[in-house]
Amino acid sequence: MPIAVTLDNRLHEKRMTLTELAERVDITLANLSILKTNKAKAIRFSTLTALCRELDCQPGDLLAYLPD
Amino acid sequence: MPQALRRDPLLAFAQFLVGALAGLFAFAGIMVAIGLGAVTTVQRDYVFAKLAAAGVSEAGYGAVLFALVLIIMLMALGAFFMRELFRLVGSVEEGDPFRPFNADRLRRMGWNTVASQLILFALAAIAHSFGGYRQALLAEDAMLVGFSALLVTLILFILARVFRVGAEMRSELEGTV
Repeated sequence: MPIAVTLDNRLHEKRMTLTELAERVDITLANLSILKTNKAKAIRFSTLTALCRELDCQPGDLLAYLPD
Repeated sequence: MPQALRRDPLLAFAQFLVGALAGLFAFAGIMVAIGLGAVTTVQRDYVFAKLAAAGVSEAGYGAVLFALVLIIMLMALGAFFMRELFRLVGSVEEGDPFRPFNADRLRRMGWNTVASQLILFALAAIAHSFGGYRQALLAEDAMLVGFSALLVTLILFILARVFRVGAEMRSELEGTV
């Protein structure tokens, strides 16, 4: 998929672990891991909203378009 | 949703009925196969005598054998159809019916009814070739059954597509975070 999730970078900048983020956004660690490893097929706006809120960023900071 | 569907009395009854019908088709098929064995061996002369008494030529013996083979095939198809339906109902009871294998299952059931219908037409033609009012009625019945079966076949093929789309939507949903 040409859309990549750049969650790792933002987590690193915020010095936050995936477990901690999972607790804050109320998403299971398994689902967040799927998102982080680019295995998700889609992302809900509610999930994106919660991630942006907790990581203090814009959707564009979490997603990147990588042309083939 | 899966919890609500669990132990549904309608599904439990359907599974019981479909299971019983599958057994009945299998039993009938075995019995006809035994009958076919008898007709070709120990009952051969008896059948020839019956055919002669009915005014049917000796060539009718071949038609009788062919009809018996067709009936065995029909019973086998019926048993397979019921087995597929049994498993389909089982997957609904488990609360997870929208899977690609259920779409394949419904498509197979559709082709099964097509094959069964072709066999029924062949049987009706054999009955018609023997002549007589009763046989003609049987042939007409087979034509009527043919129309219902055509509708059932269409419904099965459409349902197969519905399940295919459902399975794709399910897959999408599973990958949504």
